[in-house]
Amino acid sequence: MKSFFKRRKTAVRAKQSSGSEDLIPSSLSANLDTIRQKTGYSPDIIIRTLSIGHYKAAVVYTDGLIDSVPIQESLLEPLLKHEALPKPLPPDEALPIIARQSIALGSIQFTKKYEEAILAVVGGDAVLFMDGTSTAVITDVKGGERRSIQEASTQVSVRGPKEGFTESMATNIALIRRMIHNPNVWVETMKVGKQTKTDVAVMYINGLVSEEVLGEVRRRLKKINMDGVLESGYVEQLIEDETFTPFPTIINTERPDIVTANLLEGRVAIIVNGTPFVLLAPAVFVQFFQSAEDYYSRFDIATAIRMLRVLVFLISLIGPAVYIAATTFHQEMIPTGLLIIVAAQRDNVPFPAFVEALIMEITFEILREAGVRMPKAIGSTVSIVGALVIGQAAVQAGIVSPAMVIIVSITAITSFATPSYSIAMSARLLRFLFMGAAASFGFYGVALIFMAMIVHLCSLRSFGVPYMSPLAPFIAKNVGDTFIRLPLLFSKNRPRLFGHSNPTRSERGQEYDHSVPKGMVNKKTVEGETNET
Amino acid sequence: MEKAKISAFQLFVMIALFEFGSAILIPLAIGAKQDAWLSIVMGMVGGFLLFFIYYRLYLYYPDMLPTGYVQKIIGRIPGKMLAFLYMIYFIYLASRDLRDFGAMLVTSTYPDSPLFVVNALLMLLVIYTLRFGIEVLARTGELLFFLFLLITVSALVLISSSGLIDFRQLQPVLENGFYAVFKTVYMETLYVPFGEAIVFTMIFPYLNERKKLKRVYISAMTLSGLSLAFAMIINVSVLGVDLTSRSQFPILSTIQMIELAEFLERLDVYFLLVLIIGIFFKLSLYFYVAASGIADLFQVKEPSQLIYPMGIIILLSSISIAGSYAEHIEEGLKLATIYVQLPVQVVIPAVLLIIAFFKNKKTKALPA
Amino acid sequence: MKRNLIMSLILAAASFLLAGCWDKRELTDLAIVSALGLDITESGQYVGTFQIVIPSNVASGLQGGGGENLPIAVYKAEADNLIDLHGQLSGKISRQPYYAHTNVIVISEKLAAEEGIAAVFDGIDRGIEFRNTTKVVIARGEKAEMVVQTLTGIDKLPSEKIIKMISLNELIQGEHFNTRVHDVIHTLVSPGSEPLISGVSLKGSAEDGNKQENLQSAQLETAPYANGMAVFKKDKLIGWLDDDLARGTTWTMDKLLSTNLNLDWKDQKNAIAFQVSRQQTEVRVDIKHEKPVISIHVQAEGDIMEVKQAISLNDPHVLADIEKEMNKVIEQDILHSVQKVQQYHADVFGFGEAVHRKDPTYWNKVKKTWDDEMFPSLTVQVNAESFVRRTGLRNKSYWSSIDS
Repeated sequence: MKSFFKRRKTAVRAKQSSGSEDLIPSSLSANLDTIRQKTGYSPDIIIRTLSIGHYKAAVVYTDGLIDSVPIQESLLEPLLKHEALPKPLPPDEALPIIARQSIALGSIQFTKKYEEAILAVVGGDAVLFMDGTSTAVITDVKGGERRSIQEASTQVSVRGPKEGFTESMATNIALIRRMIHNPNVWVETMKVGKQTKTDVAVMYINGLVSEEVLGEVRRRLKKINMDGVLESGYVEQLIEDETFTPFPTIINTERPDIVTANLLEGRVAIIVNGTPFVLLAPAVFVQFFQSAEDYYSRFDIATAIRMLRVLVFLISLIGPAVYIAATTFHQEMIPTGLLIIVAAQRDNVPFPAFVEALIMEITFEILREAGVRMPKAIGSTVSIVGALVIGQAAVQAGIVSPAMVIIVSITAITSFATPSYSIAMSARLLRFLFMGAAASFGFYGVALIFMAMIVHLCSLRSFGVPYMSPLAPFIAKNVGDTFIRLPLLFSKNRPRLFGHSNPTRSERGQEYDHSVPKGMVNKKTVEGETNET
Repeated sequence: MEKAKISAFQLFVMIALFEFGSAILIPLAIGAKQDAWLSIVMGMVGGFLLFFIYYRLYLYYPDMLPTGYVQKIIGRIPGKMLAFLYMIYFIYLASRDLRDFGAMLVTSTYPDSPLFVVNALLMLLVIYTLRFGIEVLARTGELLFFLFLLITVSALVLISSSGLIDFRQLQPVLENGFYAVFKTVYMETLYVPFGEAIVFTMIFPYLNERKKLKRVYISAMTLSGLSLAFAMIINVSVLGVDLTSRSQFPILSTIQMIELAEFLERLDVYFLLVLIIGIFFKLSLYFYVAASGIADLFQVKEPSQLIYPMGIIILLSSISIAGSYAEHIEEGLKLATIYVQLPVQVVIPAVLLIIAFFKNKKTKALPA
Repeated sequence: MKRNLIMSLILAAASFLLAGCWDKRELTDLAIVSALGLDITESGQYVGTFQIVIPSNVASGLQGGGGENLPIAVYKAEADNLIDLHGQLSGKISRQPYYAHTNVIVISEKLAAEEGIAAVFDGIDRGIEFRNTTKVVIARGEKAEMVVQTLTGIDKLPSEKIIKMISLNELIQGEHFNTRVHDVIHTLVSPGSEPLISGVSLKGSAEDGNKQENLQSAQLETAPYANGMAVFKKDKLIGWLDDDLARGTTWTMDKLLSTNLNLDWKDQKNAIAFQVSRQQTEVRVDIKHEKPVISIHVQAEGDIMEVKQAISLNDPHVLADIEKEMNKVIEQDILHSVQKVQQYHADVFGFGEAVHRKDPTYWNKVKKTWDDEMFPSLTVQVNAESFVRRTGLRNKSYWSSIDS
């Protein structure tokens, strides 16, 4: 019984799949009718019938998705000018010859499958059908209005390349290829989304990438079974290891240099057509505190700035919680002078500290949300009103204390100072949890939630790689590029957990050039050469 | 046994944090007065000797939990019973630590809060952690270890820069003779905290680099032992012997003495975090070992199912274990050492080792 | 797995929401006690005087507040012990008294001399709010109540003024030092040492100190000032050390930070003012013929700050003579105060502890008789060694030009 059902099911599935692979009818008029019907007579599906010699043919494309210049100059014009073939051939044989002789475009492709042809049309290609044959020619004339390459808006850097990704996958792949001239940079593409058929490319450096991670990425991408994938965020959420976590386990970036650097570390990039945000996996926690610029500036400065970011993250996480805990549970630890000032400020405030903090934090979140969504012209009005409401009026009315305003402003600024937007969002959410814990159990509550957060972070994995590596598990070789950054001279190792197929970044390591003397007196240079006298 | 592997460094960190655990809280070996530190160091050396008993046993059965090899050594049924007693012992120690911690918190910072709630909150955290298994616990340990170091070092800097340390308080050395010190060793420091590391016999089989075990264990013990001794030196030289011995939690009193730049005062709450880390870790290890041991004994498929009921047992027994904190300390440092710790940590393992020695000699002799 | 996660999340959330708030105290529910005064009535009851901060009047400039209003409110209660005092207060005050920021505990001379201070400190030592670092002073010749309620000028909080005044003196003159609760207890329990606590007195009429008018004159009518160090035997006050005697004591205890010494020169009294800026005192114990001998070795260095006659300070020989003179002054200073303290039979220096460290077995023999027999008859040798390091911006004084 059981096996019987099974067989029937597979049979049904086979039928469906063969149904989708219908061949193109050889009659052109029937063919065009089907196309019209299948696309619902949409006016942007353009069908241009033409005669090539004595053959009847039609070029089908979607208005707006194609570049009209090549269509006219490289496709229609040569086809119309095509001279009759020396001897009449059946259309089946004639089409390849015509295509070869008269289509002046880089990429052409033959197909007999109807589904493929129609997908090409709605995907931005032009398709040439000919009467009497069931073969069609797909020509790549993709184009139309797209955003040009601009500076990345979410990850701005002072130093470093300014180019950011665009919505076009091909452009994005090209941007990466421009930075890394290596035949080992391999790209695999697939279509994801039952309805949208979005192009998704997986990019990696063959020989550096960890096969396990790559296999896992492929497997998870294939498993996606959604009707639409509109942005890389969809993909991110569908393939991440743990759904129930406030922390991002996949990096997204708008900058080709970051992608390149990560490819070199053995990571896999996932590029989704239609969005400038490229995904990188596997991600580790410390990466969210690193910016591309760290590597372009000197190591001591970069290290100091990374430390600052950790501090910033902590403040934005537990800043208000510490205020609540200290003023409602642990007044003894506030220095006497400060305590008296804070007490004086709170004297007229009618709310408990927790409620006061909650009001202010939520007000701030509202303001921020309003500021983000507003048109730019109105945005400034919102910020002025916000500043007045938060800063002046609330204090003067005695609803909140000035100290609270300071705390909220600091947390507000810190949440913008984190380099990764996604980790700043996590902190923004967790902050309220910490505040609740502080209000009910003071520092003990804060400490417990903090420990729970650490346990949670340690339990996370990104594509099998422990999220907190290389700190936990501690990998001494890789610690040079975490919350600190050692000089590039010393960073010779790829991340051990997924870069192990080729662990060292340079054969002998980058050594100091000892031939350059470093003493006070430059003995090697000829005297007088560098002396001013 | 869980399918997990831990690295040598992770074991190091676990042992170090475990040893600090509750030992840094209580007035350890204060019976030896200003020589308490000496008593701790000697306890540490005794701990090394105990380790060699455990280590030989481990070498005989490197892939087995002690709950398993006890059955091989003394037979299935007696072995199971003995192993079960050990698990109860671990649960008891877990409850004790939870009580230590809860009492500390309620006495020092949260006088109006019920002990039950304070303990329950920590228990929740431990349950949450243990559901992920030993690997996550080990990784958490690594992170917390760095935090721990950071805070303790800053505490040390603050204490020494407030000019509180007066090493004269440590004199005269060996005032009451060597025997007084030795007595606190075999009555106290040998078992708490050094002998308590018997719990790691249940962790050894998870280690991925067997050869490093001896080195890791000894270095972790040395680090924690010397640090505990140093902490005691600091306590005594800041507070004096009298106050140290009268303090329920000398380390807190020491930190309360910090007075720097009219700004850094009453920092005990910051250092609460260190204490939470230590206790959390010790408690988690006892709990984990007890749960995995019981799962092993009764062939429970999913050990994480045991976590919830056992958590409640530990929580309840931490409350009912003693009526008052004084009773709790008396029970732990006086009664338990002789009647529980000594046989459990020293006598039984030694007897097991002797039996295992003869058994293995026989089995080795047979095929030859 | 998912269910477990959700369950534990709910549990955690519930426990936090339901649990908390037992020890929650909003700032507006607290009365910050900045100083605590302890007196004793004729019938042997304690009178506690609580100096409570009124925050909005202290933090002036804030919303136009402060200025003319009093920075403190003072409450009084009478009871048998400290906890009862706290309880008695509850009917009189709207906020919960909070002691973690108590800077100073003022104990009246009468209480210290008649009742003893030991009974006072157990509650403070045991309680979790009081800091071990809270300072202790003795109200000399006044009720502690009067000291606590007197308003002060520059420092708005009177408790702060008292502490800062004593530590400034410790820093500059070395005739007083702040004693923490911890020190008091430590010296009380240790058999070889006794407490030494700074005294505070009031000038002017003590009754008027708590009025706003007191602050209206440039020279405050009523104000606290540091006055001597109280010597305790066991826990009872038995006498006072003033001025040079107090300084000799701090010197012996190696607590002196800097001080001014006046030297006689060529028959002129106090002709040279010398500032000691660095000093070190070592107390050595030798046991000779079953008797401890204490030798105190002092090293002091500093600058000459002022002279009243023509002294050629650029001559090293003259400086050497000055150094010799200084040694004499220091040795006398210390010897005087040691003798004075010996008369009190109270080992405030901790010589007993030094003996204990030196020879524990000997100490066990003399421990019982230390205070009343051994200590008063101790042989004490003082040896000072001083160095003149600098003489200020000038070498010879203008006196030499005036005189010639």
